[in-house]
Amino acid sequence: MAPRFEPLIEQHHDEIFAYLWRLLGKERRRDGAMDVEDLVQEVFLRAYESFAGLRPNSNHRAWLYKIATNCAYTKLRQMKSRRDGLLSLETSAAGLGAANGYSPVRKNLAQRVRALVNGLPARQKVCVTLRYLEDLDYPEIAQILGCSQESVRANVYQAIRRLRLILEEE
Amino acid sequence: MTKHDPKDQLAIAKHLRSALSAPADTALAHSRARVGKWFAEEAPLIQWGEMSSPLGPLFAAVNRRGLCALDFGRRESDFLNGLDPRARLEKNPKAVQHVMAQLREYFAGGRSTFNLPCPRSDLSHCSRPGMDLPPRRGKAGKTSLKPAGRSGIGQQPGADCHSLPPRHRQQRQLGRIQRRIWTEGQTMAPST
Repeated sequence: MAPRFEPLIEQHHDEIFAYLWRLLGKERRRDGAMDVEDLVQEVFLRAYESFAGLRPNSNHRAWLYKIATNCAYTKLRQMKSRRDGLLSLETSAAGLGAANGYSPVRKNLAQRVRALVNGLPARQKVCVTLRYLEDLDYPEIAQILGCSQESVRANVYQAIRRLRLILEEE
Repeated sequence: MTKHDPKDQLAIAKHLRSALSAPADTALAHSRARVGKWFAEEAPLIQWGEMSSPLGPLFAAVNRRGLCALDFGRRESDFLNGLDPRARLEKNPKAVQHVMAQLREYFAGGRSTFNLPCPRSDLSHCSRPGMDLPPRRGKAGKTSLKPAGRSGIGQQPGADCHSLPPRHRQQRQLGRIQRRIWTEGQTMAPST
């Protein structure tokens, strides 16, 4: 039975939005929702354009996640280059703070976990988000990312190892 | 190396969930509405309706160019699944009432030809090299569907497909009501 595009929006919009929201780490930014909205729109636009070529027995959910992941990679790359540009400024500011005897307040656990996830390499971030926040299983994540299950497991493992270090410090 | 203790995994998932909050309902609703609006503007609209006929439920669908699908003897879901999967579907009996009116007249015996706007792309089925005639001039978008007679009703699917007639004859044969579905942009095939 040939699937239709319209129900895909109703069925998967919210989870794709939540996935991109978490992946981009936008929850603390005022303009975050608008950025994610743009990206979600982009995901469904790309999906619509390539929908006709999709095999009827394809996993549509995994296919949408794959498009979302590709869009997110592009966005994360843009964000990284912008961040790298600002890094030198921040480093100078931090040096100035230390010189003035300023000590940053110790962040709470949630903030540190958030910072850690946001600082992960894109691949690890995607893997850990899909596994632990979107509850996808390893074969499905491998399908989305176009890699082996072992590669996904390794990426999740690396991310979790860093996370565990933070948790053990508490 | 990559095996995790289930309890450990639960704890990690819990920490991640609490740290990376879910988006607010308002943000979700706003985005959903935006995507929905885009789809409504982007996707072609297909309006459809059904009527009871001596052949059972009969379905017809129209797009902005005219009649794009006609079928009977199938379930509604099967009919809808045969339509353009990217289109936006809307059940709207008013949009197809002119089609239904002519079909009713046909079944009542008061009509032997149909005069319905019918996209030419619908007629591209069954074509094979060497059979195409130059497109008709001056009649684009409007095709006269002339039934070949009552004997065509209920004819075995595909009974007339052993040899393909030239296109000018295929056009006439479209008027014959047979148990088949034909939809815009898709291969015309006998329904199973």
